[in-house]
Amino acid sequence: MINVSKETARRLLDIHGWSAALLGLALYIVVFAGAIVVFSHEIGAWSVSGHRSGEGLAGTIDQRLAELATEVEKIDKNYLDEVTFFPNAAGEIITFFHTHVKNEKGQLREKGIRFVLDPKSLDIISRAEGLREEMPIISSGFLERFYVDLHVKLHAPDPIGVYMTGILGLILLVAAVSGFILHRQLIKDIFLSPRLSSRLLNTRDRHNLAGTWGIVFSILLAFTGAFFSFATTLGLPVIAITAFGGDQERAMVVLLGEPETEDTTPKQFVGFEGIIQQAQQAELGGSVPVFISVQHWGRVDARVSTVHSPTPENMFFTTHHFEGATGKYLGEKPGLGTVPSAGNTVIGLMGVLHFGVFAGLLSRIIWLSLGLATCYVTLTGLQLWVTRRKNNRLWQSLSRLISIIGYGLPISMIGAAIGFLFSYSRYTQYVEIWTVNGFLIGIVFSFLVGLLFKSSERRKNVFQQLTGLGFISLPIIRSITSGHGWQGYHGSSAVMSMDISLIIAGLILLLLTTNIVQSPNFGRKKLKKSSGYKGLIEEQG
Amino acid sequence: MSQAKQFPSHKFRYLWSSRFWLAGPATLIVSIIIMAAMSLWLPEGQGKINHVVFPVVLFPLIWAVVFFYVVLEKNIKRVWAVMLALFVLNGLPVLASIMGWLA
Repeated sequence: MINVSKETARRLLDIHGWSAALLGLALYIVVFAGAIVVFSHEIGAWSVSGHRSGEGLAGTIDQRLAELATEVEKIDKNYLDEVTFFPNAAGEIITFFHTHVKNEKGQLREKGIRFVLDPKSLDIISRAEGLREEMPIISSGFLERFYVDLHVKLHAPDPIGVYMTGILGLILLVAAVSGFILHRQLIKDIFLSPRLSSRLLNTRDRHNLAGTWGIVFSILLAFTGAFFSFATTLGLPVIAITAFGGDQERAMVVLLGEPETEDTTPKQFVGFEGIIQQAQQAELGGSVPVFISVQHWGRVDARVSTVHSPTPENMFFTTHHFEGATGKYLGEKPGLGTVPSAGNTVIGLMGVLHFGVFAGLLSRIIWLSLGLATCYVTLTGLQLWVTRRKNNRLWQSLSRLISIIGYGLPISMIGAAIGFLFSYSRYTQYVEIWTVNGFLIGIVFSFLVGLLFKSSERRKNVFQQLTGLGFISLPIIRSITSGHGWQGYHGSSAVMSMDISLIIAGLILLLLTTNIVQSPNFGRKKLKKSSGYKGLIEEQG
Repeated sequence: MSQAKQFPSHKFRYLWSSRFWLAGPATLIVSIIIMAAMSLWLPEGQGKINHVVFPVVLFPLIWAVVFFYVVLEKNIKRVWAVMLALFVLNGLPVLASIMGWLA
């Protein structure tokens, strides 16, 4: 589409190829995990076989929370500075009474007491005290968190992991934009039918076809993803140096809004039930809040914020503000700052675009599909790279690694899910270790299969069969370990939808390995220009 | 014969090219300085947060624009001049801010 000189085109082609060759597999892991965690909440609900019965935040909770507040006050009154309150994917209610303290590096950290409550009986499932980052995991949400962390930071320690995924976001941006500039027939390639004359041309056409369909999505996701990775790890510290004299706390205060004048006069907290009922009204949040926080519990200046998911009428998350002492509605509060601003809207837009929640289920399905298309573009691009270097032994070893990682990642994620399902049903204290072990066993298993089968066709078939069987086994294992089938989920469709989707995905993969779906017979048609310079250029793509 | 085989000695030629270093570390440094300087001249807006939010949001785009400028510009001397100008023009207010001269 854009005319560039031959020398510039060669430079762009080198950037496009080398960036993908060096970091393409890591990029594939981040994008694949990202595509899957578009449905992280459903995965969380599925992993514990549906939401626990109970009304959660919409139920009768005031008395129980008042009891907990009294218990916390006896231990440390400062823990009532801030209380957060939200349900996880399993339906359990998590409440964290805490204050802010500085660690040895001078960084502000949350310290307090966390309770995990049963949504029906409001009994305490677990209780932990200390710094938030040092608290034990909440076992019911661990599979969801494991997949999200794989996408967000590749399970590397902070902030290295976030920097890594940020750099991969920039690499995706470079690959997509350079591919766009190099692409001479963008509109035509939307309707491209992959040629069967040779495997190389076929791979190239499939790469171009999927790349053309996903190019806008790739640029959008790379941009928003790089923003999320660099915003707090690079952007905010740098801006704090210039605009706030190096004071990051001051920068955060400006972003979150100046606190109101404090009044420490004791005053009983009005309770959540009335506030949540108000917040559910269509002209306010329009739904049960997904997150609630209280500043200064038990004081006259207590403030309650309720956060609501996007609704059919509003594509952004919204936050509403109430007086904690009286329950009076104070108005909608922007996520950032104290009054509506362009900056706050832009941040909201970045969120909904990256997570794909702007049009409900439909946009999330599209995001999943385009995410998988981007994975396909990455893997076919790498295949093209190594096919063009068939005489180089080093690059040929990468060829095998592409299929090992390509299929090994879903196999390892299936392994993590199996590890989670077995441990969660019997020994919840081992959920973390067995989810991680399941993932590692999946990696080792994939490498063994990849190294055992030398023929690429055979290797691909075995991987597809294993992945397909893995997908099909998950609903069966979930059903056996949970002890019940689809009945009694109280309207939660996540478990059934996930089970059916996994079975269909598994059957498609198994179908691909049978004779019903014939693999293309390359070379049936002779190349029109199989000799000479033009033929060579066409062959090389 | 593959194209890669036609130019075996050119495989790592970019490592010795000033464009490679301009597109790599220099682009990163210039992008960070542009982002830092933006917070000093962008209006705060009604919410008093726009000067903080927009530079952070735009950072990946700033990086991409500078990167592709360095890659696509034919005249490498012009690339040097533009990068130096960006560095100085944005670096001076950043330096002034750090030294407290703007206060």
